[in-house]
Amino acid sequence: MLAAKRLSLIRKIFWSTLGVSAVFGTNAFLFAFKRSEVQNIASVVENSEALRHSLTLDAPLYSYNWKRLLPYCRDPSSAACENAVSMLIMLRNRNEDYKVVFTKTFGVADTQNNVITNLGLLNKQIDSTFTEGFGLSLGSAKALGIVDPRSYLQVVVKRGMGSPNALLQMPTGLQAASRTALNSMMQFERAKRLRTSEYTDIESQVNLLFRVLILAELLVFILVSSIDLWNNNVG
Amino acid sequence: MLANIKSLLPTIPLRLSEKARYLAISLFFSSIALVSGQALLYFELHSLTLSHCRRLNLQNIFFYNQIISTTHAQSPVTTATHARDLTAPEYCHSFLVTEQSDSAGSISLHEMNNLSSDLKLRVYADRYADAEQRYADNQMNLLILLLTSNVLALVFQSIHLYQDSRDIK
Repeated sequence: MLAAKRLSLIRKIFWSTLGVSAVFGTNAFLFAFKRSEVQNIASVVENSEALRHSLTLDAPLYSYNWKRLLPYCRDPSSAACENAVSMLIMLRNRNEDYKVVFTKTFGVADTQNNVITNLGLLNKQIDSTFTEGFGLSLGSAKALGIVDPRSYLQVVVKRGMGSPNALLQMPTGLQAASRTALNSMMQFERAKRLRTSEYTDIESQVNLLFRVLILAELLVFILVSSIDLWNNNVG
Repeated sequence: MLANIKSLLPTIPLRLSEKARYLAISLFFSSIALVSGQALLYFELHSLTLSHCRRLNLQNIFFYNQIISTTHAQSPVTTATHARDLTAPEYCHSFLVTEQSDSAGSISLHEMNNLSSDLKLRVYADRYADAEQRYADNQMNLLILLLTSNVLALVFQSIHLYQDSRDIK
């Protein structure tokens, strides 16, 4: 009789063990899933911080007052004009870098996002500054083997400027496109930055799942050990 | 259920037989191994956040160096404005608290966050490095404890099984 009752209790402990093991299994799966989410969010936080720092450093370039510099290119052989060309090329290269960052690192699709569109428009504006203003596009300059702003301006001086008037009108469009591109990048960064609070939330979820995991494991161990000890100590 | 347990109390042995005693010791060492494994998982989980905090601090250090080198012509106020937001996020604070002295002495978290940017970043870097070292040491010790207790559990289980096999007729 007592043996039957003992067996009945052991059977209940056995089924409880299986139940707690099922809880452990489900929890382990959720824990692994949430942990990988923590890694993803950490990556997003780091990338958005890097973008924020980069935009802070590049803001002066994107906010530059081209109306003050481009008019010096009425004399293309001047040092100030060479400086203007260097900065335009730097801005164009920076745009290309940011396009790669947004598409590869943040996974932004080319056609769907204002940021990529605005960077593209800014590049078009820079290209037309070179093509219409100086009369020599960057592509043609590359084909001629030109590698630096000074060589570029020497060729422009020899060939003759494109349209000095067009060059004087460029700053307005350039500044507008530049600031639009910068604003859209900053908006993007701000939206990503809001996700940093998600890190704390998901970390606490992972901690909770971890506590359930270890409790379930301890409970399974205690239940199984108790059956084992009891069986081996009978009689 | 409670009534069932109460009725079974006379059958629940209060003393362990010799054979069961070895099993109990084996289970004790198994439980130590189990808890060590859980503690290892705990440290691994927090190492994830610690590495993330270290990478953020590294980015801030690069950024600060860039600010200093490119804004040398601008006023200190501008430099300070750019560099002010380099405080570690809240979830990194637990790694910045230590009882030991370091390059900045034993300073509190609040005092640390009010230091100048370059000193703050350096102190953060030191504290994160110390935390990583502590984690690495603890994980090594736990791993040794886990392996040792596993072996001891197996040793005592083997004794229990030997005793058990002697009873087989």
